[in-house]
Amino acid sequence: MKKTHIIALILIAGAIAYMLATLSKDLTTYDTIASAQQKQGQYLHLIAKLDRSEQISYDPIENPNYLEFYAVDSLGAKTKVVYHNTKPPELEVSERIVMKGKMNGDVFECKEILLKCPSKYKDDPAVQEKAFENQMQH
Amino acid sequence: MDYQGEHLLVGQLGHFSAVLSFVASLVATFAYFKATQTAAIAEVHKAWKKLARTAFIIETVAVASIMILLYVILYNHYFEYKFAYQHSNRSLPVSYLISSFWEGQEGSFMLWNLWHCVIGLVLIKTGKVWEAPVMTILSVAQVFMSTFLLGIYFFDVKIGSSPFVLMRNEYAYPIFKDPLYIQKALRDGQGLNVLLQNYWMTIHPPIVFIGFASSTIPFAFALAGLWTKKYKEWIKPALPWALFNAAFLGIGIMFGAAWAYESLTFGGYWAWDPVENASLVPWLIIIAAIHVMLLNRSTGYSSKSVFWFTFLSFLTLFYSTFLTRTGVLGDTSVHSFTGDGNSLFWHFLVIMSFFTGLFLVLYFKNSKHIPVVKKEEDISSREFWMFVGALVFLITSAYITFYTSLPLINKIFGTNKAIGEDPEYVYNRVMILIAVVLGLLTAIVQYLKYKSTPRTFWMKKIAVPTVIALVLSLLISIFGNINYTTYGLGYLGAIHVAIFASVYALVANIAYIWVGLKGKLGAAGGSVAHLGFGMMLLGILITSSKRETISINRTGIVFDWLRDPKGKEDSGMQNVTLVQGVPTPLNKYVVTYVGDTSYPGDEKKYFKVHYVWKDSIRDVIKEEFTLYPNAFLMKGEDGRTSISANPASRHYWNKDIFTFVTSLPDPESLKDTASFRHVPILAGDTVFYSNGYIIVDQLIKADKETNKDLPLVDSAWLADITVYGNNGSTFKAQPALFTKNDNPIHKRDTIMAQSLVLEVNKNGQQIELGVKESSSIMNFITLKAYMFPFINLLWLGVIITTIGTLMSAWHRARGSSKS
Repeated sequence: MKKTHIIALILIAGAIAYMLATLSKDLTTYDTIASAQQKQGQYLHLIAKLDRSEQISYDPIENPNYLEFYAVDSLGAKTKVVYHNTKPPELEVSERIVMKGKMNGDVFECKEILLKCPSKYKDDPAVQEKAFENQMQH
Repeated sequence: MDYQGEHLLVGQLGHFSAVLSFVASLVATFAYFKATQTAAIAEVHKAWKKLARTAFIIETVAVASIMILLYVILYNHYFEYKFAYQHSNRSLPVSYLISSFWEGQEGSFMLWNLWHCVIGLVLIKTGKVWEAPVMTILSVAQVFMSTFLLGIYFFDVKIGSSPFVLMRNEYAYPIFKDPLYIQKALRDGQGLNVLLQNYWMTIHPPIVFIGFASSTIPFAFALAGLWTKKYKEWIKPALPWALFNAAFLGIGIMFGAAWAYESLTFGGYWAWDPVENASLVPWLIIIAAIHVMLLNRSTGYSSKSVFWFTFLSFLTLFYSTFLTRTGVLGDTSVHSFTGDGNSLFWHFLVIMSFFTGLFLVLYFKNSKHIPVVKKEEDISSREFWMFVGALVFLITSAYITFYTSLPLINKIFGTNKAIGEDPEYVYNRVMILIAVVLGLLTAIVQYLKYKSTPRTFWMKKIAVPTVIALVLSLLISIFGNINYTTYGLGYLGAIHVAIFASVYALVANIAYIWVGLKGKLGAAGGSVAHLGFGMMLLGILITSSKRETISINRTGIVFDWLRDPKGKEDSGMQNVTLVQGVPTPLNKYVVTYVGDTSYPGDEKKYFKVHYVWKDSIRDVIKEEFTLYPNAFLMKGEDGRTSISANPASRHYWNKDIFTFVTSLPDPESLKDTASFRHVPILAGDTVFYSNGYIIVDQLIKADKETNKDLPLVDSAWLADITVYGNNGSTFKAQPALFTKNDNPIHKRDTIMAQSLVLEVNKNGQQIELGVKESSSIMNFITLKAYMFPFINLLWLGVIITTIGTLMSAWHRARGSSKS
């Protein structure tokens, strides 16, 4: 066997061993609110929607790093969310929210928020249709 | 029905051009194929080649026409076309019309297509014997690329999407039955995403797509080599193209990074976002491929793997585009593009399978005949370590690709895994080790000779650069204050080792230009690129390990729940609220939000933020500057205003101070009931208010005729005002009044500390000062501020690497055209 082959094998084996060793720690899961509540304190991704029937509380004068709102998921479960950062500007118009963080009692302590907003998805025909209807009404 | 005000001819020409480019690429493919097969019979070969060239030129003209026609539609605001309606509007400045092209995916593919054509023309001119087989492959690629713009139905399957479709054909809304639908419903478009309204975004996509398009060429040469059974000869003419590809892909990626740094607000230039990874991986692999090609040219080793590297660089590029364009990444990326997901999904799969199949068939049919060197590489030889380097690049790519592909893996295996708490660290902790290995290889390997290197020779030459690099990196480590302990001492140690490795790469390659090449700059492209690479690594290491958050919130208490399990302060405390006019200490600076301005014709609002660093003991100002971070204010459907912020930076040679606005009060909540009291004024007048008095220092009138600096308004009245508060404080204010088309535009000035708003008003010919006193004006912004040290090292390193790579490409292109 050639030396380069040996080195290649060592590198590949090393990389695979390293990934296997760290994978379980690095990876997390997408969860629903109900299943997240079962996994208290565990870092996970939650896919939900803003609960528009509840107040969003954010007062930057008081504390710019504290946002509180409620989220509901597709199964109808609901949770309070706390995000220690500024309010993402498009939160109110978002269609879907991906939140990364952990459940702490009844509160989801959120570290990162990804918003899916209609404005970013102009090519999506359903969104397009809706935007167009909106424009018509004005 | 007779629709009013439509411009259908442009679209029809566009459709025709799209179909023509498809047909012409089919003809070109077939003719070039025949030309290759008949290479032995000069007459027939010539005839086929002539036909193929004609077809290819027709195709180029067709693709260029598509682009021009689409530009005509955008420029003239023909909103009956879906593309113009979705991606532009009337208020969009002409300079950003070009950016509208790449917001839609049709525009991106069009660009890719166009660069393929331009490169094809160059190949026709320079390709000689390689023209026919290489152009066959390129034309096949073009057949696939042109179908992206077809938008036709083949039975029930939609193939591609045309940029020339009409709104009324795409959406069955009742208003589109109205002959006057354009006047009624499509007077203006939806506009361009504000994030794309940035100068980097006019230049980044064209450059990246030169990189995309040119990645087809080395692969096309490899296939041509297998096809025409010239298993080694293809490398020489392919090499300049590979270098060209690496240079443009590299600089394109860094333009993207610069865009992220300047206009996105994640606070940096790189975030391991799938879109970024997707462009990085093909670059890593083409760099590996270049090195394998080089070592093969000199020694004949790796004659088989060179095919695989070239193939992988092509495949990963399409795979990357597949990941980012088809929406399979879904929720993991902030800016993954979505769209005609499903049809694109299959389109890309077909392309990838086709070329993979073609490569595998050709490769395994010929692999027995590919000449291999039987003797093993010597461990002291350059080729041995170059190959190891290429393998390291490959493993790196595999690692990045695995994590980037997680959503796809989830889809295939039905899992629901995602990268956990600290995605950047998942990459960084591996990349730091890779940086060490690559830095060392970059430094040392050039000093090795092909075949084998006598030990004394090597030791003598590399001794001096090694010592210099060691001293320099020790100086950086000792005096550089690099103590990034977030991930423990092991990681910090790795950073310091990586700093040595990158300085070593930098120094050793500078030295090599003199020692190894005796200062012959013409041949020094490689060394220049390598030293740039070392500088880049060093820049990345220093900026990332020494990035400082200036805006740590010290005003509040640190709550227990804000500490993560390891007891570190949570990053969420990085926003600070600045109330207008109230100086707030941030780090060593005292920062004041002075006020905001907007300009007519510019949708952005500019926030004036003043930084001062005072030496409190000697009472001297050590540093003082003003930044103007800005934000687009966008009215949402529910009447709510949301912002899209752009950062502003103070650039020094050795650091950047970087600030952006993260939140604003809702303008609605700032509305107050107090009204303006208007007083006629002249320069020198005094006006009283409840807490003091106001002196009008100057009153300036300017208009279009007298002042050329007023391009956007017709005339202006500006007042220079000093406010004297009863408590002895004084404030300067500059309210102004502009008029455009006889409509007044007020630029009000607010003195927060005195709850005072001033405006200039015009009543007939009389100029008035408007004074409003209100207790409800509490204007504020929240912002984040970072300090990036030595970020210029990174940018400079990128530029040097690109120059070096292009020098090398030029050097080799001249070499290959001579023989």
